[in-house]
Amino acid sequence: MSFSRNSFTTKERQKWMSVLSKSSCQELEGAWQGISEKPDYRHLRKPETGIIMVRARAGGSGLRFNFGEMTVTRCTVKTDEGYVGCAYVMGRDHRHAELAALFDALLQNSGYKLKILNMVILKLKESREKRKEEISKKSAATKVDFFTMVRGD
Amino acid sequence: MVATIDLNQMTPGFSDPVFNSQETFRAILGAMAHPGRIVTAGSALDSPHPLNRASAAVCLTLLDFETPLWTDLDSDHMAIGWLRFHCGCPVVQNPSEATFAMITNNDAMPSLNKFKTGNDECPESSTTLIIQTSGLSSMDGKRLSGPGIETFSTLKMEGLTERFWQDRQIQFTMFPLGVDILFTCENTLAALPRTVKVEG
Amino acid sequence: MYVAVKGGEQAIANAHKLLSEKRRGDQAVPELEISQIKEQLGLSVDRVMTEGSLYDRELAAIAIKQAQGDLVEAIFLLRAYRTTLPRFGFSEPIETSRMEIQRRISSSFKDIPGGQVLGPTYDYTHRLIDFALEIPDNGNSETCRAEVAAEAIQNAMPRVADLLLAEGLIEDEATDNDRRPVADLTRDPLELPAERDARLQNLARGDEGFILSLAYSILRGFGASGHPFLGEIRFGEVTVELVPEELGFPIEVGEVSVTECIMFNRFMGSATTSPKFVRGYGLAFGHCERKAMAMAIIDYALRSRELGERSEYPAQDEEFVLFHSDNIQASGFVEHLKLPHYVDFQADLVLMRNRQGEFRDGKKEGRDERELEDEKAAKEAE
Repeated sequence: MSFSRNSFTTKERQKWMSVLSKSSCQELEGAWQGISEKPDYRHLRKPETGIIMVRARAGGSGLRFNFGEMTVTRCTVKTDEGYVGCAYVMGRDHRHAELAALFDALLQNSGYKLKILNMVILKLKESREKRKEEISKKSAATKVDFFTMVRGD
Repeated sequence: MVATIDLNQMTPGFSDPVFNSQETFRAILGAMAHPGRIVTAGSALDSPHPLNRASAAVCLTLLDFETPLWTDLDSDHMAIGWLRFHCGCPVVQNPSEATFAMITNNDAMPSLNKFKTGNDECPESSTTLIIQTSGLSSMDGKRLSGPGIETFSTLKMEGLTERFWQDRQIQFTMFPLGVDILFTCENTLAALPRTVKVEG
Repeated sequence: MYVAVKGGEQAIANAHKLLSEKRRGDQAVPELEISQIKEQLGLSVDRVMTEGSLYDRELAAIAIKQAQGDLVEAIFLLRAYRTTLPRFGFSEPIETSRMEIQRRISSSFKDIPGGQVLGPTYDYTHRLIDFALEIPDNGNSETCRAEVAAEAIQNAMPRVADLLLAEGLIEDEATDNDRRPVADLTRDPLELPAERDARLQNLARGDEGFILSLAYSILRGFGASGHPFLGEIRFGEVTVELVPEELGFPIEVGEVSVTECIMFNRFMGSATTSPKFVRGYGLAFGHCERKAMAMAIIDYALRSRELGERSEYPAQDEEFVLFHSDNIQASGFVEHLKLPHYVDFQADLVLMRNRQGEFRDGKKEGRDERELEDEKAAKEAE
């Protein structure tokens, strides 16, 4: 595997990429402004908006079919230390994709990794989970118990 | 197993993907509409060896993840990684599966009938070949005539084999089936669509 | 036949200006903001995304504003916009079984693992106009605040269909061969007979009104051998994963909200297959429950050929359904009648004048034998 020389596993990277794509651009901008030593970087691929076809399965688990498309913006950056960061984020926000790619590059650098995982990724993840939980609790309040005159089983 | 793309060696593509690809598309359109006319493309591009700038610009403009590419380069070649990264195109082993073919070594090029020539219902479902040449000029050379050319035009492409031209003659009789060809050299290109008759 | 016409440029430019003014309406009224459409007309946004076949809430909201709320026009705008974008690839199939659930009900089983979650639904509203909404906020923001339960929902809810599957009472959805090419109507034109993947894509993009009416026709007896049962409806968010070529492993790009509907249909079996329930499947972007239910009913109706059932009604005729479901194609064809047909109509005028002349000149003249025969037959029938 090409990651053997890296200080992170593919699984770890998938996790932080997920958090970065699901966070809002403002959150990432705020976190980025909070980083004191920002590396210089250049674009290997400038932020670009396109679409991906979302696939689903008939019956939820069977035959694959093309359900519909969604907008996605991607970006690839290379820091001066040589780390290449990638991002594919939902929507059309170029800055979101760029920031997600930058954080992806930083997180591959063991000098930054722990700090950013704790300071940024963990916080983003927690605030997202909190929002999700709030939504879920509101739905939970609409859970019903149906009563019938005779319980038939 | 498809080789992973080495992003650490990766170089950028177009500096402005939208405008640069529109510009290149316009150039290709002009070349296709006027067979034999030499146009420029990709002048400002930093193309990965051994692709010339025009070839790289054509690929960035026309290729995407739905256009399988066949090339004579080794599958782990950096230029292939560059094409896969920037264009997202799948690389196929068999020329008959390719929508585009990138040819860098003309001596070892497969015979033209190895590529897709389309079928009667969809003659356009054929391979478009991008052939790199060591020289491209409109001084003497082959005599071209056909749609898009008022009387005739001339085009000289360095380094093509006699066998290639024999193949092309055979394909010309198969019209509307056949392949379309773009010849590139540094930052210039010229087109040879299947409609064009080649003499000399 | 259309004839190119020139002129009218100034008139068209002025029509566009008039349209902008009309769209803006009374300048004394504050202009709509995109966020207001996104937040407060969310179900319109969902429908535009579903039938525009492009998930982007903000774009759909802009399209609705631009189209003055004409949703079919907004869908058209979305479809046109997507053609300008490059496609990066296909997602991995979304896992609706791992949906973050906001609503989930079944009308087939009362007690389902995970429970019945009503979520934000109009089902139990009284359909009385709420005049309190006439006045913003109505001085009481408490009325638009949801109750919050102590515990969140457990998202990993088993599918209701799996309960039947365990007993062998329902068709096992064939596991898919991952190398099978998946039909894509955005790239290749629809061909008949259409496989289920093409049909589902067509229905997912199809007009809600058309599909709803077809589903209604089925329920009223134009085609159904039995009453379908609502196995399950789910609404919530699912994660979309993509494998970028340069990375080679799946990454999550975001979350989309979807409505999923599974209908149970009674299939009485054939010579070779045993009787069982068969699923009809509906899926829509956002919260489009009516659409997802209608789609699930039509998905099953269109399976009559492969199930070896008789198909004799409009909703079972895949040519009829699939070729007329798209509201952009349909409105394009209907509205093309607004294009200049001046020459065609001249031809019809000449024809009509001639026929009237023939009619006046002697009723029997100008008719051929067949018409006379038809007349005779009609008389006999009387």
